[in-house]
Amino acid sequence: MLFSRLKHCRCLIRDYCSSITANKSETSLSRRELQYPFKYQVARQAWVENMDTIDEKKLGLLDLHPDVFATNPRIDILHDNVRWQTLYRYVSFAHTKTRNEVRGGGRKPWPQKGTGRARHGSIRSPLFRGGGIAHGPRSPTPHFYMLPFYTRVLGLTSALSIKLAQDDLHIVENLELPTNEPEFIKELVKTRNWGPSVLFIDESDIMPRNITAATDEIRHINLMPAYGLNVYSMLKHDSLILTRAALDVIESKLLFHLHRNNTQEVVSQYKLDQV
Amino acid sequence: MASYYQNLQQISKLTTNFLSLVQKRQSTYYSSPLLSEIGKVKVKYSVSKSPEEWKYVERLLPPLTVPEPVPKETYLSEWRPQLNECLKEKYFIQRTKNHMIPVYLKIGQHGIRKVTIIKNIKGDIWALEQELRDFLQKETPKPLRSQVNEFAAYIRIYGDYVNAIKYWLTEKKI
Repeated sequence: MLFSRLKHCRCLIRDYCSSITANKSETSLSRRELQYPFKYQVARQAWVENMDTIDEKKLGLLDLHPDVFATNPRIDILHDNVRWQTLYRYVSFAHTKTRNEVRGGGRKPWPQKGTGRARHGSIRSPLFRGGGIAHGPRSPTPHFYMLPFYTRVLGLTSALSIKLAQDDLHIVENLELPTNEPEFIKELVKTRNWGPSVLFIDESDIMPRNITAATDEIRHINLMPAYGLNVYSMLKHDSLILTRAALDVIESKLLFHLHRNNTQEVVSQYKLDQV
Repeated sequence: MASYYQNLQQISKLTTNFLSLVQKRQSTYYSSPLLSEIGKVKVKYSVSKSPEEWKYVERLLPPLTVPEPVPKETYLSEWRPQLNECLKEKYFIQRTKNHMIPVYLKIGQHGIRKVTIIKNIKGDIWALEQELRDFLQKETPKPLRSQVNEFAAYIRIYGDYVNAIKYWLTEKKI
C-alpha cells in the first residue's frame, strides 16, 4: 500500500507542498456587497478555497447574487447556446457538381424521334448515371447566425447556476501555485475531487507563471480569462474554478446586462462586416 | 471665336453666382460644415476640470442601469412598486428590470388567438394558477383554459385577461 503510493509520488509531493505553505493561515475576507437588491430569493453562498496547498483550506464564505447563480436551470437555453457555438463557426465543404459542371453531355445522345427510347438532351442530366446532381450541397456553406443577446446572457446564468447547484463551481482566492510542476496541480485536482477536467477562470488573460507552466502540457486542465467564459466550455469541463476577481467581473457584467437601461445596441440585429 | 469664349466665361460666372444662391440644407449632420472648413471658432469658451462642476454634467447623463424606485405617498398612475408584503404568499412574481408586472398579451392567428402570459413566477406556481383560475372563472362563462410551465416559470391563459390579472395582482400587492 505504502509502496504503491510512493510509486505514484503522492506522499512526496504532499510533504513538499505543505511544507512550503505551512504557516500561511487565515486571510481576512471582506464581505461582498451584492449590487442589485432581490426580494424572494436568498443569496447563494460559496466557500473561498486556497490554491497554495494540495489539501483544501477554506478561507471564507462569499455571497453570490441569486439572479446569476440561482436562476432556473434552462437546459433548453443551454442547448441553444451550445448549438450556436458549434454552428456559427462551422462551414460545410460538401460539394456536388450540377449538370453544367460535369464534363461532357453537350450533344443530344440519340435523335428525338424514331428510336423507341425516351427523349433526352444530355447524358449529364440528373436522370443519368454519372450525371449532375440536382439540388446537391454546394461548397462553402456557412452556418453563421447570431443567437439573441439575452439568450446568451441567460445561457451563462443558467450554466453558472447549474454548476453551483451541482457543487461543481469553486471559488479560489487567486491562482498562485507554489511550484510549476504539473504533478502538483494534478494531485490538487485529484484530492479535491474536482474531476478530471477543470476550467480555471481568472480576471485577465495574463495569469501567474506557475499555473500556466504547470497546466501547459495537461490537456484536460485549462485556463481561460473572464471575457472568454462561455456555455460550451462550462459544460465540457467537470468543474469550474473562478478566482475571486473573476467572480466579481462576471457577476457585475451579467447583472449589468440584466438591469441595463439602453439595450438598443445589443438587442438590434447583428450586422456582418461592421466596422 | 473670341465672343464664344467671352460667352462661356459669363456663363461660368453666372453659374457660380447661381450656385451660391441655391438653398443649402444645413439641418442634417452630414450637410453641416466640418470644423476644419470653418477655421477658427469665434465662440468664447473655457475648459474646466473641476469635479464640482462635473457633478452637474453627470446629473444630465442618463443612468446606465434602471434605478430602484423610491416609495411615495401617492402615485399618478396605477403603477405601484413591489413591496415586501408580496413575500407572504407561497408564490412570487418577479418584476421586470423596469419594475413592471410581467403579464403580457400574445396575439396570434391574425388577431384570433389571444393568450395571456404571466412570466417570472417563482415558488408554488400551481397555487398561483389555482388562485388565478378561481378569480378569472367568474369573468367568463366559458371554461378557463390554462397551461402551467414550471420549467420555464410561466403560466399561459387562453383569452385576454391582462388587465384583470394586473388588477388582481395589484390588489393582492404581489
